[in-house]
Amino acid sequence: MTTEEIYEKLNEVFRDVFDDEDIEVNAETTADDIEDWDSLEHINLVNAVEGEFGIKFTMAQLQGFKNVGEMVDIIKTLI
Amino acid sequence: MTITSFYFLCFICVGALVYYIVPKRCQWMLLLAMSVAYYVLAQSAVAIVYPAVTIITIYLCALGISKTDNKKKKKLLLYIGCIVSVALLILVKYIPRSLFGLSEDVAQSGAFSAFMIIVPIGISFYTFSLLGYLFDVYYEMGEADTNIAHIATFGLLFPNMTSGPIMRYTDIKGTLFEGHKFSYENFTRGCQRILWGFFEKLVLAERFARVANEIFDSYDNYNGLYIILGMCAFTLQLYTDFTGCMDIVIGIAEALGIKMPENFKRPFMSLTIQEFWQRWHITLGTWLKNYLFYPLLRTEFFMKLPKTLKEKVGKKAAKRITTYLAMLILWTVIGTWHGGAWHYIIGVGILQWLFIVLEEMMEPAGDRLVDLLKLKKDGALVRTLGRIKVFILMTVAFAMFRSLTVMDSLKMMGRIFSKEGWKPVICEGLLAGLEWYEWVLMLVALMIFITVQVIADKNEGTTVRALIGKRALPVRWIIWIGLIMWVVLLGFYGPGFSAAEFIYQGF
Repeated sequence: MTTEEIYEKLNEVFRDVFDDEDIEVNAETTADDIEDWDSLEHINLVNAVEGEFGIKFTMAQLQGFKNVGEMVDIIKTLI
Repeated sequence: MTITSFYFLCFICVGALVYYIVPKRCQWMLLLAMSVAYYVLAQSAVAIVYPAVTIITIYLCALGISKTDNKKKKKLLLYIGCIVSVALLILVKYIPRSLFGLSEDVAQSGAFSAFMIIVPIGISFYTFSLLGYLFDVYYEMGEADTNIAHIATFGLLFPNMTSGPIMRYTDIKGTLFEGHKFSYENFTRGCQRILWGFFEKLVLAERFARVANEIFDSYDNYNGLYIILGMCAFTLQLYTDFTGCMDIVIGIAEALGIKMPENFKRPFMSLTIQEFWQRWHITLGTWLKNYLFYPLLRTEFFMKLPKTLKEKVGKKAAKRITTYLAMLILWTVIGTWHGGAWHYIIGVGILQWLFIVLEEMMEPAGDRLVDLLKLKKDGALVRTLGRIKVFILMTVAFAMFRSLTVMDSLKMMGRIFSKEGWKPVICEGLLAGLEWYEWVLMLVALMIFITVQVIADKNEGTTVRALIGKRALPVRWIIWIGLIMWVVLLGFYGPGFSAAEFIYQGF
């Protein structure tokens, strides 16, 4: 899967989880950029990303993402 | 030996002096020795057996987890560490000693009985800090330390034994074990923070305590506004007591060059209950989020629940129900952590959950009302109303926390609406437990406290101490000497100097 394809899929997941069709994520996107992305929604998001890509993050990984770019880097190592 | 006692001050002064004399590589060892000495002096030599068992167990389990690749073995070691430390916590804290037929009299009769009756100080705090370390090693978020003396220093660190903060090993180990050269700035800023903590504790909390104790302990004599006054006094007592303790603890650490996590961020400036809990006892909240809430939501049950519910109630509701259910478990644990009794479980547990859920569910209606009244959502009026709401709801919840039983708190609050009418109750010349001039002193001090909170809130990223530090020398000295004089001359020391105990020490 190419990086573009990963971002494409991720955008769908983000739009679904945060109920906002206008969301467009990039490597620099952080929780501060999306209004509802708090610690609660973070877990919902991670669970949805895992379901979409058929992967499983470790607790260290899911607590360590600083931005979407880091999440994508980890997704690449897991798929 | 409470941390506002004269002996504790001497202990800290001598300790700080030796700390900066010994070689830098030995400083943490001195901290360990002081922590053991504090534990023995504050309680007894027997009491230290409890933290020692937890420290050894956690140390061995964490080391075992790091040395094996076998997942089952890792899990087993995690369970052993958790069960031993949590079982000890439950045994000494939540199971009434009377079940074993133990009383204070029996404790006098021998070492074993004495051991059985002790509730070791800071047990919840060191258990949570050490468990966090074990979880971090298990989840590969931190490395296992091979030196047991390091873990003992972390677990027993003496200022934290009173009321936290709950520390994370990976965050604190750098600052705790590296040597610290004497820094005039760190030392003075630390001492200033300790002084402010003393002000909060001795000038404010102790006076609020007088009023709260008088009204809560004999609420039958009071009604109407007096009950409201007593409830507000307890909320302010709890806050100034706890935050004062944190300022002393973090100030001591700062004077020694150690950076500890903050535990409060002006919680009563919050606009919602959810925000309040992100700013009150922050380290407990972070601990529960990392080690209970996240793992809970990652269990198969909670991951499947939204999918199962989605078909029946729709996507949005399914997500909400799942979150609320997990939150209910979390809040029940928080309530239980404060004590096994129902007034704790409801007051600082289930009731908080209910507040947060209702707040979220009523948010759209609130927004519509704000629009209807043509107000600004982030305007001063709406924000002030939000803060008043938080204060009122927390005061009701804390009243339950303070009462002996849930029924007591309901009966007391019922007296607010008593038909007897409101009349001033002056008992032996005291107005609700204080003389009139004490009231004046307390209210002036409260104004200063609120002003400092507002200044701090408007200057995020710096401290009020740093702002004072920028002023001219005479202004700085007038402020700090004035504060010292205020604490020494007008501090409320009660019947005995060391009688001032921190509320949270019991947790």
